[in-house]
Amino acid sequence: LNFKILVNVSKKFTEPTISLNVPELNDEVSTIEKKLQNLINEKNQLIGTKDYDIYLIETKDIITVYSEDKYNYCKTKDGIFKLKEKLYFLEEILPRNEFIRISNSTIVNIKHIKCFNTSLIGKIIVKLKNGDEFNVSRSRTKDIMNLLKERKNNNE
Amino acid sequence: MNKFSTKKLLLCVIITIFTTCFLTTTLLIKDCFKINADYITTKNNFNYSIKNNVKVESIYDTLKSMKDSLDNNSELLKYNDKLKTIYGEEYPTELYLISKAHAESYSDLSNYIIKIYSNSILLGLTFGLIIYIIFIQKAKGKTLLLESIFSIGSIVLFIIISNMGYYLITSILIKNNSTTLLSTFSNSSSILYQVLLFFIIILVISFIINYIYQKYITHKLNSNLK
Repeated sequence: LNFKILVNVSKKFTEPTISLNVPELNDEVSTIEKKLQNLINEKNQLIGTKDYDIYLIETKDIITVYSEDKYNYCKTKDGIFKLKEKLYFLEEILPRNEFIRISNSTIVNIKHIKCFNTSLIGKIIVKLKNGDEFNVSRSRTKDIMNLLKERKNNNE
Repeated sequence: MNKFSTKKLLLCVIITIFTTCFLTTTLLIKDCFKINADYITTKNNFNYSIKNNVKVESIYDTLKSMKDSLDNNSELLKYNDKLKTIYGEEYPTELYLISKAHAESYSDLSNYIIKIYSNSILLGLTFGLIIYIIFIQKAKGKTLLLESIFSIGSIVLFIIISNMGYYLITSILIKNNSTTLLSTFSNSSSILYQVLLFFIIILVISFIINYIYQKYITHKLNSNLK
């Protein structure tokens, strides 16, 4: 489908609205809808707590988001902060081209990935620039591959 | 009640199976070092091998007596020059009987070990399922009933399959060993070891293939990351 982008500027619009006018609903339209939804949901800041103090965390500063003992935490260069949001919600609001979910309990910032490696027992491990290592779920390797490919193509 | 998780169930069952097998092995090893002459009375002659005249006080003593029997017979079974001067060039009937008894003892020993370990696995499987359903999943009411039925079914199925395999292998052994003396004389449980070896080879090959595949995926991920 060849999409034309129209931007209507008028004071009669009380709130910004995006509408897709298509002859039929297909996979391409659904993908675009999902991407737009992700783009709208994306947040640049998160609220985290550390030692009973509340902090505003820039998403670009986040290295990893992980769950441990039923709580979610995010790691930045300034330390570890406890988050209120659930991991599946964080996956949606974090910039999609910057963060990847590598397992059920971990989301990592692509910029902080040093390399991928294989462990002795044949598991894929992601090594971060700060020295941290996380296991990559077998079921998520395909999604990670697609995202990295997409990211690579966009950069090129 | 917690949500059913196959991963947790498998982990629980594997842990209990490992625990029961570990305990069994520990008991067997402990018994190997245990010397209690009062428990066993043996007759170190030909009749001993054939009639298997042993008084057994515990299951572990049986194992030890079988091992002793094999050790004694191994020396007697060698048809060396000394024996040839006594019996002649032809293989004598006495040695044929001893070799048969030897093969039977060897088979008994292997069967005994397999029996112990299959019981350990069965015990581990049962305990694993019980622990998972009651303590981990905390199933109640209809779910508890359904899962209990399913568990009993799985255990029965495991027993049926293991027995089928056991009888299949035993029948092959009898068929092969009934014709010639040499095959009887040889290690009668070799087919069992061959089956085990086959499974180990398959496991090793699967592991290597998986490792190579994961290496390939890792390489692709790294090339896309750059």
